[in-house]
Amino acid sequence: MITVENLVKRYGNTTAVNDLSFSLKPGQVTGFLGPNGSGKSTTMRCIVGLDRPTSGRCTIQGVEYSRLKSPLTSVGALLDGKAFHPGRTARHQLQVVADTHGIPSRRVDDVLELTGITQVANKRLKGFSLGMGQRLGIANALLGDPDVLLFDEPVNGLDPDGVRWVRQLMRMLASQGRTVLVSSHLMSEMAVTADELVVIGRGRLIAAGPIKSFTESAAHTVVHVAGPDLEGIARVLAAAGIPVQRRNPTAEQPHGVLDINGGSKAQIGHLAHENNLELHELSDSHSSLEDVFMELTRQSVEYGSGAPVPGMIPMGYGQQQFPTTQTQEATR
Amino acid sequence: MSIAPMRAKVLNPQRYRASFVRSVRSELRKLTNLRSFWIQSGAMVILYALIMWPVGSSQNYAHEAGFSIPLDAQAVTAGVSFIIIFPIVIGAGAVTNEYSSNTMRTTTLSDPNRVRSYFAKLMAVGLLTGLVNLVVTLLSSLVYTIVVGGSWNFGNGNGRALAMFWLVLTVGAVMSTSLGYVLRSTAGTITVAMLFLFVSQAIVIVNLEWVRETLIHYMPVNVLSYATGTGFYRSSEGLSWSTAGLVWVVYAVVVGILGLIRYRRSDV
Repeated sequence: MITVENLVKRYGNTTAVNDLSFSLKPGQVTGFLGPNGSGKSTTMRCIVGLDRPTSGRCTIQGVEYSRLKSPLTSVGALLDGKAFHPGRTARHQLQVVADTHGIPSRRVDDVLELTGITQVANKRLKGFSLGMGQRLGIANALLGDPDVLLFDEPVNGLDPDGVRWVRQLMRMLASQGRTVLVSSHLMSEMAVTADELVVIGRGRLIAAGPIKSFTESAAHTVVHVAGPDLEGIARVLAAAGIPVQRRNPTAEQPHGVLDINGGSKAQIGHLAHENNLELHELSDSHSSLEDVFMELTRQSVEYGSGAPVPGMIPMGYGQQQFPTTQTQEATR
Repeated sequence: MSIAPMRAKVLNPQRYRASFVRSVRSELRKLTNLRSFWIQSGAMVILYALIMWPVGSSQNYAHEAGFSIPLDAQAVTAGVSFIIIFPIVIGAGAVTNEYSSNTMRTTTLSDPNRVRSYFAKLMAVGLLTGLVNLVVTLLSSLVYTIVVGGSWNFGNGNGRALAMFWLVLTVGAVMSTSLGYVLRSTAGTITVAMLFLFVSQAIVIVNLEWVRETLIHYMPVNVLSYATGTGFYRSSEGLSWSTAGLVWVVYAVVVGILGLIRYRRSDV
């Protein structure tokens, strides 16, 4: 179990992490989300003692990382997929780490095999792609068979097969009772990998909890209702104080559809039943994790989209919004 | 500290733990795998052995001219202020390479006890450069002996001078490693080391009697010269070999403390 208590980390006048607290449970994959510069990597480095917290503390099973007797068998971390000496081979890199704990060579072979880089184990790391480097980083993290795993952007540079492999690996590690913390910008990956989320922005905790509480909360659920008497349904719902939005008829829904934000299928179905209204559709949809993330971190984005420049106007922007070259020339 | 496993662990945390000896072993593996270590060590051994050839030959000329000059270890150790550049570069590279390739993070993760990790690296650098310096000392003495001929009298300060030559080179390498922890840059470390060694001599331009007559003897180049001298060519001024050796070790200890403080307190 990882516990972060009132963590503050400052670099000069910049506060990277500001009074951050959360704890992670074993047996779960926790997604660590936040915009660029939000303090995710700094927090991870503080957890494993690479960065000294300005105040607060990070513990693993109640003990600071620097005080662990057997750090490698307690915590495995992938913090930088390219943190290898280019002149070493993959096997040698792992052996150097294994030596510090007297871990036998056969374990090095095991993790090379597990991460699928046995064939390039004796190749110098300067020839490694980013994806191969990530696999080696994961092998490095798994070397001590640790109970806690930290992965900072583990799928960076991996091909789709590699991304799927990492996802399955995370799930498998968590199912074995390990604590897994993963930071990623790929919301679609987090949505199918993580059980819990910790969302931070500008170094502060924005939200934490089970992933379903983010995407399937009432605020992020829309109920869709369709039937031959759409007016009648809308009237009943309005009378019950439920605001609706009407979608125009389509070939599939010739009567149109009512969208109800924040409603519940059971409540709406019950109202329809009580008023003897025929329903052809009663379904719901949830916001994507990406939508929820954007909503949560809107105020915390440090590096947003840049302003368009002449000749590089993004798709969808109208000419009246941004002056074109012609306008500028006319001004001159 | 042990974490209660919810699964059958592959590695027993009680058996596989971090220790000083294991960290030294890891550091030795790192260093011996560095191509630059072998290139620099090889260059040092060959270059210094080659230098001994003309040094011995010049003594031969004097011998042929009728002067009787015995084998003197100071002929071998006289180049200490030049050859020490190699151990300094090797020692600096042992740590600055780690910072430049970001492997210092892996090192610190593997052994988060920074005091132990720090001394493990110093120990590894000391052991390996000590071995290389031993080869340099023995080989250069051998070449000098072959060129000049004759036999050694080790009781005449020669054995001590050769031992001090080995010691100052090895301590120089370790000091450079500590400096690498302070500066974290290969270029920066080597530059500062060179300034410390050679430019510090410029203190003589300070027109103070205490500086010119006392402090100047404690400048690194002079210290190296006094420490490795046999007394054969030595003037009466200056430090004794033991004081000079001690001063050199004190320099190393001071830099060593600075390196430890920097490594312990700083983010990696």
